[in-house]
Amino acid sequence: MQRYILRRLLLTIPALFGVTLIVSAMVRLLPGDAVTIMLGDYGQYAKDADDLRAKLGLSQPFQVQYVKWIGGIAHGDFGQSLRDRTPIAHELAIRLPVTFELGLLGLIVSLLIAIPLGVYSAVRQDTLSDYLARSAAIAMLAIPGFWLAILAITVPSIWPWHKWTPPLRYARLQDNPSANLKQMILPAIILGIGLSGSIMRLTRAQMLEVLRQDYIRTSRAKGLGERAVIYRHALRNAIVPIVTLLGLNMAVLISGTVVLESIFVLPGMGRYLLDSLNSRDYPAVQAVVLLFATVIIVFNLVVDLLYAWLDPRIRYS
Amino acid sequence: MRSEQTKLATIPGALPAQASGRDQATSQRVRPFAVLWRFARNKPLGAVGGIIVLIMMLTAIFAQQIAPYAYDAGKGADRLQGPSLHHLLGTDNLGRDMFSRIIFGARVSIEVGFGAVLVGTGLATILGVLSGYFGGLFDLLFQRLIDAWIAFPALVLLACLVTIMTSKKTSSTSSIIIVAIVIGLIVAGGSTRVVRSVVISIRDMPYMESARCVGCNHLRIILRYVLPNVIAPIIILATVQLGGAILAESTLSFLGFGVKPPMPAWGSMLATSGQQFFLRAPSLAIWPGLAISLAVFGFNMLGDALRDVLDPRLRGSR
Amino acid sequence: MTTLSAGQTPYRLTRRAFLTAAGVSAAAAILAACGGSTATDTPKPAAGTTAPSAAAPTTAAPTTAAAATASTGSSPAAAASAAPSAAATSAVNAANPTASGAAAVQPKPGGTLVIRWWTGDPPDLDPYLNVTFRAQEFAGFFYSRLLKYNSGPGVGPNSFSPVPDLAEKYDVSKDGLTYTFTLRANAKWQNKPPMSGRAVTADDVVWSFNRFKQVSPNKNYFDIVKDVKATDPRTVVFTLNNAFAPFENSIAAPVLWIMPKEVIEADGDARKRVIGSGPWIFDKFDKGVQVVAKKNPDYYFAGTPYVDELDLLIIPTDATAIANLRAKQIDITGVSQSDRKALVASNPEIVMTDFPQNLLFFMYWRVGAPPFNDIRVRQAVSLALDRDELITVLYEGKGYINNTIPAGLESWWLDPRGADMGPSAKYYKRDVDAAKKLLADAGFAGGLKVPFISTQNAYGDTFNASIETVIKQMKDAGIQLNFQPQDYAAYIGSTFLGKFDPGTMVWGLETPFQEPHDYLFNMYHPKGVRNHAGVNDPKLTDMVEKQAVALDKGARKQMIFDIQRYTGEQQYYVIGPIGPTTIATQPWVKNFNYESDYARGGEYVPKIYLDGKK
Repeated sequence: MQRYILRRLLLTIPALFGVTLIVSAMVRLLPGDAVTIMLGDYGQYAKDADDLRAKLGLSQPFQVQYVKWIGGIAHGDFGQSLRDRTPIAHELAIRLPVTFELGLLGLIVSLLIAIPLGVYSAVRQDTLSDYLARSAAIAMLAIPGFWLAILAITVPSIWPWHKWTPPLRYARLQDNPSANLKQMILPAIILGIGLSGSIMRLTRAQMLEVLRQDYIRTSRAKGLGERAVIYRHALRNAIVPIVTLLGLNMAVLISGTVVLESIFVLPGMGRYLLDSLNSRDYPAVQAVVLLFATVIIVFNLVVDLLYAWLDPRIRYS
Repeated sequence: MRSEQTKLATIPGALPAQASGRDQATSQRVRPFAVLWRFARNKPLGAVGGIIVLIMMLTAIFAQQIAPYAYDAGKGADRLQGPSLHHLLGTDNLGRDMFSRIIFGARVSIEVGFGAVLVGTGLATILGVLSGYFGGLFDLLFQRLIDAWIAFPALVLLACLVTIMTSKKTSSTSSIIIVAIVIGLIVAGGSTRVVRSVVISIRDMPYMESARCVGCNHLRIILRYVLPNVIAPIIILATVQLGGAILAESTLSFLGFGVKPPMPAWGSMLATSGQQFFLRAPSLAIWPGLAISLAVFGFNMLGDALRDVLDPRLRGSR
Repeated sequence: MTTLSAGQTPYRLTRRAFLTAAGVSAAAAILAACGGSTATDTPKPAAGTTAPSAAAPTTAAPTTAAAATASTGSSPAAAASAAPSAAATSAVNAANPTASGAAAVQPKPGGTLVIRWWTGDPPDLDPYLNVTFRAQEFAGFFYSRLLKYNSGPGVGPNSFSPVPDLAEKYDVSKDGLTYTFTLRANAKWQNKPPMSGRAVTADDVVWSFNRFKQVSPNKNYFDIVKDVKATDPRTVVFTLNNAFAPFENSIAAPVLWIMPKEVIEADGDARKRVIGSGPWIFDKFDKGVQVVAKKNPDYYFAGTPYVDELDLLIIPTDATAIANLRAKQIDITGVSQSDRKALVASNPEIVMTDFPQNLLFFMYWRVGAPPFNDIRVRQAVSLALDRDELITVLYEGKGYINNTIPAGLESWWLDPRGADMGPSAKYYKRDVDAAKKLLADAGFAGGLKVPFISTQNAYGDTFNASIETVIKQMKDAGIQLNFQPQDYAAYIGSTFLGKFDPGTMVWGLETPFQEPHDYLFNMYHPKGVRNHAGVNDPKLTDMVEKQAVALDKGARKQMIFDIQRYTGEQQYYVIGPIGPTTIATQPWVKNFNYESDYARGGEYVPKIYLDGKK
């Protein structure tokens, strides 16, 4: 087992190299660069622009830029933003917890919705309740998130008796937990709703399969109450692949928060990535992508390990 | 590799039908209409989904004939009208007929959706089959590549690819193709994994071995034995991902990277004028939103039902 | 030679002007910049609603008077001397024209003013290193200039009349070559080390000027200046190469910020520490959330700012801003025309301020190459453009017909539909048949098919909607546009600079300027840096050069009107209409007299006070 973990971790390095190399190249293929954006519609003097590029290190060949960047990363230096020469690490330190918190809350909400609904739907298979629940699940993943978000922010503000909006200024969880949660609750719910559809359907499918197994029949024959059968035996066995799905959803989670961050004014990684992309801030984009990729790869590894721990039949060589 | 196989056993649809040969024999004697009817009776939701999908596809194909107006024709004076005899769903902020735009939007969504899934599952099939069948070093490296591919933040990939490809001053129609390809590439990542797992699970089956003994070359084995077993999970994946592709297009449009106007795409209709006029004329957002939701609903329900039917392990429980 | 002393407002405040201006209370174009909801950077103030009744002529009234006295030279002296009586009553303190003519209400100091100012972060805290609008707006709060634009009751948001800021007065020599500015005695740097509240000196001005010429991408802006000298600690002398009528504007424009030498010499730039001599002291910048500023107690316009704290919020989506306005979490925000309609219905207590947006949407091409080298083709395009429909569709029916000079520059704009415009007025009204005939005459009886470029990810929703509408309108006249959307970064680095295939039409947008010269020279002179179309017309060149040196305001205005009549005929650029900007304020926001330029954070915002905010 240890050898497996070690091997996976070692193989992570070339994967990360690959991802960052491709992203670095791709982002430089985008038309314009940071200087074009900085100059805006004052870009008439080519020489000034070139001087600026030299100062920012943009006139060096791609390989040199990339190697320099990797060198910096190896020392823990995420580099400086091309836009205003402030350290990228500072930005990330502020924004990562925001996205992380939102993602976690969203995940919790989605599990709270999806698992009970999935179990219920499986137990009442092919009845009207099942159809309604499954339709609800599809509806939840079909409704565009930003549409819900705009509704969510507009409706409470026109509520006749008490007009409310979530706080506009982000406060850290440790500084002001109530303001922080008030700001996060709506986007977390919307995120959770979006995710819950697929989780619910998987739960239902898993439960259906598990419920047909012999050991379930046995436990019923033994005289166990239906409740115990479902939760103690069936669900525990059904849960495993759901964990895998969470791993796949990670990537969606991270990309999907841009819209919510914009509407609910959260200084998260999604907006930062989008802004950096639009400003052609190469080091910032590379840093964020590196972070994301690492998180996803590590998360998938953890999921695989969790898998092995939960299901003793699975062993890795 | 056995561990991978056991893991896959827990994901429905991931493993091939064990009794595929027998099924082929029985289905030859059944008439297609009766099959459909039985399908509709047993899986009403799936039937509803199927009908929705059918309507959508017909709308997309015959958009030109069905739509009362061109999608870019309108007068400013007619803007933001409610539903009427002339305009079934009212007009948008530029005076264009919403009903026609929704119809043409179906065409765009179908094109983007099918295009994306075609590219995605096509790529996934080829790569997954090759990787799973031949195995070895190629497979090992490839697996890590796929890991890296999945680790890509979709947003960056989508934004970059779409921007790069449209920077050469492309037209609206080619932007549809580009968006489709880009979404397809994203979709290909996860799908490749599934296909590969399926191939691996049947690679060491006795009948495969006997085929090799008999002297079939690799190509023949792949075509005759591997592919048929891979088809079912792919269909299931495809139907579900169709809905996802349509949703992806709408999110891309929201962020400014989707299909370019004046071509109406539900996503960009929702994201631009829908959002802008949300307070004034909510219908501009409601119709495209409903269309997207319905399309995704339809594809997913159909996919669900197909899986229930095609996956024999669930057959006993209907 | 005219001297403007401290406390003298250089305009005649007629009753009519005051009432009109009061009716058209200025709204913050703050949101103007934030107009595009999901668009990244909207370098324009967002469209606001227009005041339909306040048609151009009436709003032009106060500014005509204002502009007339703003410049120097001999003839305006008469106006200036006639002004003092009215001016004196209104301006006890040039910075605080509180309700002149109305009962003087005592402003209540204190409180926190919350403004939704931006849709995205200011990209750079050093205004010399980034000249895009957000960086300049940021600077407006904290740094001073020698002159600034006037604001106050009776002063329109687009008046752009230079008044003393850091300089308490200035003299212009008879030949217009020498400008002597005298700094205020009480002008001090903010009390933060290393500036620590020392006096602002003439050396600071000279140093800033030299830095500007060295590092700013906009350095050509002061090519007209031969020399800048500090003759004593409070006197700065600018010597110009030639007489230059717009020079006051160059000084008052949000360009030459007076920067803290010690800070920049120590840090290398003004990014790490923001210390200026302006009305607000920088407190913090929470990226993606807000910029917080505190009032400067040592500000040389004593008594202002009234509020203690300023929260400048960064809110990317309009829906969020509107919701928070309704929930009373925001005091001031710009609103789009469609949102304005909804707000007026749901929250009648919110005060709307509407005024013409100072902006140009226009069509351009390469005039040196076919088919656009043929004047008939260009005129046909102008005739095919349905400006009225654009106003209906983009601005809920309230708009203005821009000329070569935008309607927002009220004192210089010639109404293309007015009697004064002359024969070229016909090109500003849609006439599809005439367009087709002109095209036929030019050899395009079967219509024209051209590639068409525009950018959709920069200028906001209104601009994006205009693109689709324009395509449709051209189609009606037989001009088939083959639309090729271009990413903003690609557009601004190539197409905008005139680098595109000849025979292509481009629909674009121009940064707002406060001086007609900036439009005329940059866009129409062969040496202009925004000559996207490659205009090179010797007659026009001569006219443009002449107006630049016409120190007599009245004469200059006539020249500029003549230019507009001429370009109306030539149609080197086909100019689209524009709509209003609307700024929505809560009822407790008092003394709100909007000014629309990028430096308004230091111009009209300090004069606001809160009364009744909970």
